Amino acid sequence: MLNKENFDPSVKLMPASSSIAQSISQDKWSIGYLGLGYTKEGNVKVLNVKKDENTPAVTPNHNTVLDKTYSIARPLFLIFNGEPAGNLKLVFDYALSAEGQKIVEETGYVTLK
Amino acid sequence: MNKQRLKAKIIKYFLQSCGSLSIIIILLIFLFLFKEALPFIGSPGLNELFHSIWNPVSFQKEEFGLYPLITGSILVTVLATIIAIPFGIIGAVYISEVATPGEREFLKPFIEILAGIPSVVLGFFGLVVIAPLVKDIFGLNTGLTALTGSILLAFMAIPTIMSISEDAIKSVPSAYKEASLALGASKLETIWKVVVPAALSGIVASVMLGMGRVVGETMTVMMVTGNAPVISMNPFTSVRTMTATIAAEMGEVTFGSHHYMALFWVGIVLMLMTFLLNMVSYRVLKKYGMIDK
Repeated sequence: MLNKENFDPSVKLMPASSSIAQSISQDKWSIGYLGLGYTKEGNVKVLNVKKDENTPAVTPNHNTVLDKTYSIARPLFLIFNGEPAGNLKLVFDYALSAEGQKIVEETGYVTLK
Repeated sequence: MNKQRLKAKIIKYFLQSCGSLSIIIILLIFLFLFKEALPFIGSPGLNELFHSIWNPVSFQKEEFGLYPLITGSILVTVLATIIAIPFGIIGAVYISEVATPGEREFLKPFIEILAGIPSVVLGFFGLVVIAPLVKDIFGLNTGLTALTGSILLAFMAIPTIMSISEDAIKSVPSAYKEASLALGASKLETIWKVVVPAALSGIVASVMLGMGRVVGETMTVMMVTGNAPVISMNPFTSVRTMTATIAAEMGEVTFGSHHYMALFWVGIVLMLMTFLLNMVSYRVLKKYGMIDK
């Protein structure tokens, strides 16, 4: 972002995504960057983003994130020490199961497929 | 008999170690802070801390200037103190001199409740209630300003100022008051011209203890001051305090990096500041006999 330039020092840093959403919905001319799941509720308008000057601006949604035309998306990692086993494996499998992925979709995030 | 003496000795040492525990903990904390911060002196060097840009994560150049964080803490603290002083002192005067015993019994628990409100709760209250209020009243673009933080911190300092000032006012000898009243001064004149000046040292100390509490407060300021590391003495700008910087960045920092060490320097500066404030207020209290020598 910003061609790797620094942010201005007067840019606000919020302690949590919910406070970003809170202050965007209240403050004049505010703009922020936060997870897709937070855009579902509240008074937040989602902007379209161009990857570079030659491509069209893209709205973030399930399809544009998965086919990578929306350029500022990232995967969320589950990190384990070694292979997951026992209860860890249960959590891991649940997250990847159809049931788990349905929750991902319900909360406004993008599923793996 | 000998057994008895041994027992007494063991108990004595046990009590002694309990008593010195806090000193040991403070020393260990200082030691740990310096141990983690020390390599910074070799590289990138201590003068990296003495300039005006704090930008520890950058593709260009990492900057570890402490000035914006220090001025941010000072601005918020001074404002909070200015807001808290009138409420704290007038409240203390009222409770100790004017209020009926019934009122006193009613008011004092509430002051203690105010002191006991968790700072996250206060921060959340600030984010949802005070910030929009500040924004609307002063016509700002955002309510996340130094002033918002100061108002909330004043809520935290008021109970400290009130209860210690009240003790100071109570300990003014009643002969002063009686003499003043006997000379024909009204009750109000007696309070402002005799009682308060006589208790002034205790009141000053209470204010400094209140400031000590405010400087160290983290969660509330992090939630409502906007955390922009700019050098500003304008209460309507967003500022970043030292405490908020440590709290916000310590979780994300790479262990042992320059940024990590810089955060420990922030901690050292912060600890020295609170230490100094507490020292001075302790001295004042001791000098005027409010703490046993």
